[in-house]
Amino acid sequence: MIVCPGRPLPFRADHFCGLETQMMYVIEDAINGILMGSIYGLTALGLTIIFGVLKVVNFAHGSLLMVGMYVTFWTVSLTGLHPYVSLIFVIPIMYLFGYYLQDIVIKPIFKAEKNVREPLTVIIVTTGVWYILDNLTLLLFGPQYRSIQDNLLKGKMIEISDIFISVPKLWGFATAIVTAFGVFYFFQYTRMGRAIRATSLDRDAASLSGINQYKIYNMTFGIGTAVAGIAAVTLVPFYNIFPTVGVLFDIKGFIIVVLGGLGSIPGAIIGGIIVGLIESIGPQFMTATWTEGIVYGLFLLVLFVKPSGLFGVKYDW
Amino acid sequence: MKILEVTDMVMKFGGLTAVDKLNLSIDQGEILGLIGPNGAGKSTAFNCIAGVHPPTQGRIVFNGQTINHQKPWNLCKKGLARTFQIVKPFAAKSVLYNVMVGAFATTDNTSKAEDKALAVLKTLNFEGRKDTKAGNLTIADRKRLEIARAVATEPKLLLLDEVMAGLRPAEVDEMVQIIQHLRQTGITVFVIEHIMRAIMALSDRIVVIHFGKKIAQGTPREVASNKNVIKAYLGDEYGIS
Amino acid sequence: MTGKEYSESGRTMALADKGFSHAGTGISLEKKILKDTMNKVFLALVAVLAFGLPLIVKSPTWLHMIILMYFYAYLTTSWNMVGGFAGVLPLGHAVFIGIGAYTSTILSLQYGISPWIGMILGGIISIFVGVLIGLPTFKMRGAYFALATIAFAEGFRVMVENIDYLGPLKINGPRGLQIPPLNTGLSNFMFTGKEPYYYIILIMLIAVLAVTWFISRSKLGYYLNAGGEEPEAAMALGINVSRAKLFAMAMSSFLTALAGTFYAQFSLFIHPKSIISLDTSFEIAFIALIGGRGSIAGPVLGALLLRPVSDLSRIYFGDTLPGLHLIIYGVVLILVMIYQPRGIQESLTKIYDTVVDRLADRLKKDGDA
Repeated sequence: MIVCPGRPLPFRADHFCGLETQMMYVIEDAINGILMGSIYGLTALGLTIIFGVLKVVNFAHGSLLMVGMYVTFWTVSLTGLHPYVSLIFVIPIMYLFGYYLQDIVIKPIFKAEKNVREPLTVIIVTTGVWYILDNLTLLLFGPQYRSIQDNLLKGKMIEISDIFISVPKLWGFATAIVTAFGVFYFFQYTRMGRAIRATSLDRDAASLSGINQYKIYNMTFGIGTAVAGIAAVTLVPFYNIFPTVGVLFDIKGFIIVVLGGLGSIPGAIIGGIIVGLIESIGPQFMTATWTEGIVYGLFLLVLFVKPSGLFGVKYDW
Repeated sequence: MKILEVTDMVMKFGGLTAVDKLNLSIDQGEILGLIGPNGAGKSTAFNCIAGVHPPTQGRIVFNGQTINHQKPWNLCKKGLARTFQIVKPFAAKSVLYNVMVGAFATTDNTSKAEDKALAVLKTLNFEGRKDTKAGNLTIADRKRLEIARAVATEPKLLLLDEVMAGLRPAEVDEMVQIIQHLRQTGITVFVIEHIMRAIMALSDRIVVIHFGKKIAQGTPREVASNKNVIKAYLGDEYGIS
Repeated sequence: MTGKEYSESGRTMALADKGFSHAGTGISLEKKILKDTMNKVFLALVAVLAFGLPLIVKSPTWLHMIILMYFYAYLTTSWNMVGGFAGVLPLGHAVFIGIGAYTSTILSLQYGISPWIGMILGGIISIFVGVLIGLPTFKMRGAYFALATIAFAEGFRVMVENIDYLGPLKINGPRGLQIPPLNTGLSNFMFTGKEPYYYIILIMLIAVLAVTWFISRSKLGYYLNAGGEEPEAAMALGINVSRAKLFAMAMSSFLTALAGTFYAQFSLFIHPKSIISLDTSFEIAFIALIGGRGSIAGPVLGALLLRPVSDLSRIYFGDTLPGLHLIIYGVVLILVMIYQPRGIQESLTKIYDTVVDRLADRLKKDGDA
């Protein structure tokens, strides 16, 4: 009989296992990986929306996610609400934050670089925002890890025929799918959404139709940030909160949107799931940090082979 | 001697055929005009010839060499230069700097490039502005800069894409003189233009295209009285049948 | 002015032959020559000050800070070759510092090869890596290049943090490599005092500035500038834009790697989190951008101004307000990008020019009297 390596879950101790049990572990990992991956996709969704419309990679995205997590944390701590209920507060706060961030900090650059095909300066500025947000949070709230204790979701698992599935991740998965569909519907079928898409395709033509392009940009940034807020809410029940928590999601977010295609909504979710799967199954065969290396390698591979990603639109390079 | 020969050139973008079996040739020392209604495919043809994208079908022969898949910078080194319809000056730099960039195509030495650039500016009567920032120039001067830059690469064939657009009549006349002067220095010129009196005055021969196809060619006079050309520009009801 | 008589017209003609036409610029020829001389004098004074500094400043802590300041000035100037001249945004340049540092350190620790040789080898390896990164990404939008550099840098760091041995080479993962300070001397790139390091980094800085200056006046400089500003026009003028950028990238990678070796020999301890960190890469980019990328003086000015700010804020506020210097960087960066995208060197150069101008007027007046 083979002894299985101890599972990271506290309640499954070393025990003897055969091939069947190993298969089960792989399936379990895969399922949890897909769930976690969908949450990754959700975190990347805002990034892809912003890129799709503003044609700009928002390097501050991870920090916005971090801000969302802190907002959720404080909301829950102060009001005792269920994390998902705090969405009522988180979404509008994050929307406004993103809206005004774009309006005050990024719009001047857009205006100055109106004729430049791709405003590189915006990337620089969003990187500056990242640094400011992360370190301001560090200054104000300190470096300690925070998490929500005694909440209804933390650490809960459901068992389906011997496979343990994380409940908060399941909620996250559901939220990710709902949000993705909601955003998709918004852009396809609502007037505002179509106005935004029109601006992304040809801003001059759109402005001739009476659309104020800068307002559109502000709104899009607000939406992207609000989506980041939703992602933050799904993470808070089980993920630790600290000032630089966004950095990892930032980098993973870039990888996911490149994988899935910048600007593509299904691409973000599917790209996220791919990354989630690699992360969960990888450690079965190699160390966790080599797994990280694989993700980077995959990213570079996609970049070199098919930069438009799985679902991306081919932009004029 | 034919400096440029385009045979059966086709350019398709997905389902759209922008250029359809275009045939034309230019003799050395000639000024050939290319006209046609908007969207006829003129700039696309230029882009194919200038190496921006290879044609879907057909052959482009420059100076005896097939150049279908050559990149723009190699073509420039072979003696084929072009200007852009929407001018692209290096706005933050001076006129002299701009022209020097072109001059470097034939030399590696900075001061030689400067000399060459100054000489080009002189022939185009542009010396006075040599230290002006390109971004501060008037549109007429920007067009002149565009030509100066291209000429500094010492081309054998110069493709001019609507250099008169946006110019006042006096400026148009000046531009015509400049282009005629260029031909006198030995450069063959291939011009796309919309301003009729300019192209009529300049060209030795004219090719007319419409919907990507050549519909007429000949001397300016022949083309002006060609009924297909008139139909294309003014619509069927004006066609003299 | 007796004894220095030359005919004004003769001089003008001679200079005009060299294309030195000043018609229409509104500045008299004499004044221009005077200003040129003043600039040269200014540079000479700066050089004297720089070389004489260790005679005045004796405190090792201060010297250490100044050395690091020059170190960053060197890094930002090297970065500028790609980030400024080539018009792209590399955000992972620390990877080259790491390659340089690890190459020379491993070679000297395990095989006793002089760090100077290791330095060159590290530079050569960096050229390969730099070109490898640039080859596919220079054809894409700037954002992709930036992301690729980040991915490379982070991927490299992750790899180094997890390998203990790469074949026979000891890398030691996150624990890093320590260089025992034995065998001092120039050939071993090891000194007891700080002064030799000071002079080495100063010479390196001057060298890299000279290289930058030469390039900006050379065909490559013109081509990089053109390709960065209007790539389509540049290509039509005979410029292979990608190749020019790759060349710039190769040089930048090489030079940055040299600094890696310097750092290793200076601090005697290298580990991934310190030299291959994203923070370092970003700091280099930020400083260069704030100083003014694309100019020669910009990156240096940025380093000379920002490093002290960052050091001082770390010393005085490090405990109470951690990360303050990074907030300052971020805010300054955003303000500069909005109000002065060409960097602070733009205003500083204007001020300098005005001062020199006034001074030249004064001197000329006194001279004529």
